[in-house]
Amino acid sequence: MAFDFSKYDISVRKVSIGFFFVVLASTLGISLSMVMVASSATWLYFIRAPNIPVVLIQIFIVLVASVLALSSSWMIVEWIFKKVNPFKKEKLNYIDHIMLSALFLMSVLASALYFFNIIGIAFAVLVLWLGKTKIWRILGVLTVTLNIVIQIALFFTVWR
Amino acid sequence: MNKKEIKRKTKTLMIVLTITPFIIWGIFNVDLGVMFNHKPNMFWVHTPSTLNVGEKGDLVVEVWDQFERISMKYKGSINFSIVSYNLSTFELIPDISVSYNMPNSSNFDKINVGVQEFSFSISTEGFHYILVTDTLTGRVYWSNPIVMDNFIYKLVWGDCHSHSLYSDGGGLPNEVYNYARYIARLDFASLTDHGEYLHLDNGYSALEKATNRANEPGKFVAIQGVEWTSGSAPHVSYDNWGHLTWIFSGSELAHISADIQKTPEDLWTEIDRFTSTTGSMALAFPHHTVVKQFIQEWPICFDYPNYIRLGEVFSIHGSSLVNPHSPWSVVGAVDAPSYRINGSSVNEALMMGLRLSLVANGDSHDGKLGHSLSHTRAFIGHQYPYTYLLSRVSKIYPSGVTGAFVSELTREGVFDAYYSRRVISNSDFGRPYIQFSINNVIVGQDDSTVFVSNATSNREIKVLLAQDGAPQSAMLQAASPWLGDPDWGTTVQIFKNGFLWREQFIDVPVTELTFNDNSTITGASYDGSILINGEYYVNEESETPINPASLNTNGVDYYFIRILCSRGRVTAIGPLWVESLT
Repeated sequence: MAFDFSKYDISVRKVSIGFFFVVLASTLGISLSMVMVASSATWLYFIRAPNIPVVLIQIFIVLVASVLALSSSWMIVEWIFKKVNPFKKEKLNYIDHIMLSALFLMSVLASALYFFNIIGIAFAVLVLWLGKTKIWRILGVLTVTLNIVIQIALFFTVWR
Repeated sequence: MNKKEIKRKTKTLMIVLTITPFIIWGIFNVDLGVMFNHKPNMFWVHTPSTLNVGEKGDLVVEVWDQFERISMKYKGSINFSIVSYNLSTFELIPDISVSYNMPNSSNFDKINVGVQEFSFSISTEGFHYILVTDTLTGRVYWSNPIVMDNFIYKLVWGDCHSHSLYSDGGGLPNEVYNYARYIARLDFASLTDHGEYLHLDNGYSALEKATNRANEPGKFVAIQGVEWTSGSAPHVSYDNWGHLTWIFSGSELAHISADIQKTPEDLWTEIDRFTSTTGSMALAFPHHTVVKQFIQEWPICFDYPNYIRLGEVFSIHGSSLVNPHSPWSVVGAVDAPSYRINGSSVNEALMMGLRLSLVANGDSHDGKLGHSLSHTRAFIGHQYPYTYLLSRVSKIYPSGVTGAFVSELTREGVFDAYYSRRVISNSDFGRPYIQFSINNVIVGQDDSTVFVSNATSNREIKVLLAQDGAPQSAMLQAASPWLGDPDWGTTVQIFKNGFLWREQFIDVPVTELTFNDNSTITGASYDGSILINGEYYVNEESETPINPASLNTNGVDYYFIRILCSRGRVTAIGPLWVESLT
């Protein structure tokens, strides 16, 4: 039996927007999850876990990377399509808190990367501007400071 | 302060906190000169090192900018000429007496940008250099030497130690191999990502496939390889036995990782199992052995002469040939300890009795296998291919290459050359030609061992050298063109039993030096062991107790050659071991 499209309000414009949404979200999601896997591996230089089986570390890293990348790519794409400017939003709902948590964690993780730590800086700045509550503002300042401190520390340890 | 004022100040603070990190990031990560200055600076003229008389070869002319990158902006024309030297007298052969076939001139235009490739042949025996004249500047660029003879073995060049985005390097494997083949112009190469990352990312099979895809026997040999990174990789223990880069002769890649093989014993067991089940041969390169963080634990290598036959003496980490605190340290190394740690260099390992031949690799982390650029200002992160980690920043030396005398350009051919020790190590992209012999036994012949009738028999030591005419790279120094003819001023050093024995200055492109030694063969021994809690160790970093009386060459002398060029290029070959039959 053929699918009856007439029951739905489908237009070329809507399909195009949907297609663009999917492409953008998956591009962002895949790229960000790769950055997050690399970030997690970098932090493992400092947090040694020689007795934990690698498969567990792999599951953990992939899960963290996927969840964070999914949340942030969803949020970024939502903002692009939303008519409301998120920067002018006065109150945060629970989804906003989840998103801000993802941004915060990604900022902390990506701060250790070379060159791609710009992603950490960008997310820290977003936490600063989008976190409308006092606690998020403090966490925003902390992540910005962390990114600056790590960049300067790397300069004094390995730069030439 | 009223609410409005607080709001205004908060906003100002937020703007400052927004702008400041981006500015700091930009200062450290962006170099506008590197991004936009691609002006042509010099030519690199590359040819095969050895050809049979009349055999066709490929002549490649690359235009480089001041960071040794290909410059697409050159729009002039070039002329070709040849300079030749006699094979036995080393005297200049008049141009008219040399029979050759190559183009007279060529243009760099919209189609031929950055790189041009020509076919040429020479029918006269000798050492030849092809000279390329830039008609815009009048500068003349010399090629590497082409030795035209009838050879059993051809001298080909490669780099068997590099890292991609699969571990802590840059670029995807296919990009890295393409760079090695078409830009760095290597004949063989190996991408040897850290096993600990490959294990974390399940990357072994992807790397294995990429290497097999890149392998094209006769044209470009891609060799399976992986690095065992004890002590300094993520999710492994802090125990540090040094880093061992492994290469394998077959098409399969062993799953080597310091979190799978947690101890050297595990490692040897796995290598034994892998080689016996796959039929593949395996060789390891101990490397950056003098670097403070990675001091090599030589005692773990003592009992495995089939695997530990080569020592990486030049790379982007500098030189591990001699101890950085020895009087003969010229090159230095990244993060060398501020005080002397005995028993770290390859030279000291030779004194302990290990039989290591000298090779050079890149250990490049910027995705540029065979010609890393991280010694230039182009180490910066916005350079493609990208790197996630800081691994390219501190690498201030050029990447080295190894010359291998091969019977055929295949995995087996390259492996046979490595196993038989028919190798030359060079500290940058240069390709000089060297033969080192004692009593006519050349490096690689008879396992590089010379037998003499008694302990005072004369040893005739010969060093045949045809220098590379290309400009040179060194620590934090990109290649720049010669102002006139190349500076051939070079010091040839002979090391015997770990000490500098003779040195001679030369200022010609091609020469042969002869030395005689009839002093008594005594062998060498390592006397740097230290006593800790009733046990002897090779140094304070070591965790493996040893018997100091066993650390010697068993009465066998060894010699190796180091060649110091005027602008920082260093080449080494050897050792040859000399054993008395009585």
